[in-house]
Amino acid sequence: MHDYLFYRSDVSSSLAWLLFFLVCGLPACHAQRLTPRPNRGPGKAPDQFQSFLDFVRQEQELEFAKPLPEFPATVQGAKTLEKHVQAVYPSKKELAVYSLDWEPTLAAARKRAKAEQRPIFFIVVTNYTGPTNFFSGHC
Amino acid sequence: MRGSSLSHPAVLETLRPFIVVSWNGTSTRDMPEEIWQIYRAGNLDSRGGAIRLFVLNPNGELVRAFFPFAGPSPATLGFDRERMGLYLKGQIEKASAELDLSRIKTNERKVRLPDVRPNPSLQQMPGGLRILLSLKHPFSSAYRVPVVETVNNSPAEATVLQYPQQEKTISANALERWLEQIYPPGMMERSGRIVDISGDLKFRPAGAQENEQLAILQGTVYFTFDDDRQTRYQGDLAMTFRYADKGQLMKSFRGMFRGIFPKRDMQGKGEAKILMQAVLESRP
Repeated sequence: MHDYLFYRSDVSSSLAWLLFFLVCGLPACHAQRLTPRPNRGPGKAPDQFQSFLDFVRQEQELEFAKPLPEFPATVQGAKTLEKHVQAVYPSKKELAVYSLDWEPTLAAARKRAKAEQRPIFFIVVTNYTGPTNFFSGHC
Repeated sequence: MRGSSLSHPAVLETLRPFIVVSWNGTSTRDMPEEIWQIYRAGNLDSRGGAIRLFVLNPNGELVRAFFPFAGPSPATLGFDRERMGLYLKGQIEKASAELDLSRIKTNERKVRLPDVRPNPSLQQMPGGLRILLSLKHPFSSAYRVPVVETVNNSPAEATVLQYPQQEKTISANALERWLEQIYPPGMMERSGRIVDISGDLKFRPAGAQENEQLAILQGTVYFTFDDDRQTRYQGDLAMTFRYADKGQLMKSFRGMFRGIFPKRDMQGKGEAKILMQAVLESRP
């Protein structure tokens, strides 16, 4: 019973947002459309910062999109591949969230909390659009 | 939150005294009773989004519940990692104000990644695999923290990956249990899983060194994703395997995947490239 009520409240929240958008968002979009756009002219130089961002994005894409080289079937080829793997291994900074003291279940966390007299930080995710695994990051 | 406020250095520091745990479900219908009790006691309304946070005392009793963002989503803080981090830090401090955290030792912990369970029944190869999937999206910073998944190996992988005495081709589908972890999170359509994997992978002996036999597996993998468009994508896989006992025992493996997921926007007009790079490593 309680589950149904909470599910309904999620839906009503979505409806509230839709209503909010209709009331506030649509007039804003309409006003934006009526506002004449400044004439940039054909010779106007593009924003330099935007160009820089575009360049960085392209570089990122190029790096990721590069096909892997063909590694020769030799000891040296295997070692070269292992070096490639080492080079792309995520950094400690990127993985810092895993430096927290995680437990896999609430029951396990409670057991340790009592033994070690420590508090628990409990994260609950209810994502009705699909399965989520907060710990692994996949959803 | 995982890649923004929770990874903020100030939040990590504030959470050092805590034991951290998460629970995920599609709705409260999935909740076990012990989690429902905390959820209900938190008495939060439904306006704050899908993530709810709870501080429990050492006896496991609820101290305070709150949302990670100032409003229903990170948008209320401008998707600004700094603001989101400081907001969350403030909320955690407020929630734990009545707890005495000063006596708890808070040494900086080492990174401890998800790992596989021991698999004593599998003798021919390491018990499992860990995949660290890094993602980059040109318009989104939601993928700052890599996805980290683990898979327990089975006799099927051990058979397919026996040391190759000579070059041979193996189907990418034979490694489906590994490769099905290579997809971007947050797709939120249909099952959000891979429904087909194909491709031919060359498996070649790569010489021997100090009583170790080496082999290289390489090729292109093709994926079909279970979204509304049945999106197809592909990428390159290359892995090194190390064997002992004249190839009878696989000791370890390491490899990488690189590919692109073409993501349509909600209106189906534009397409953004989600860049994926994965490290695959044997565990333990």
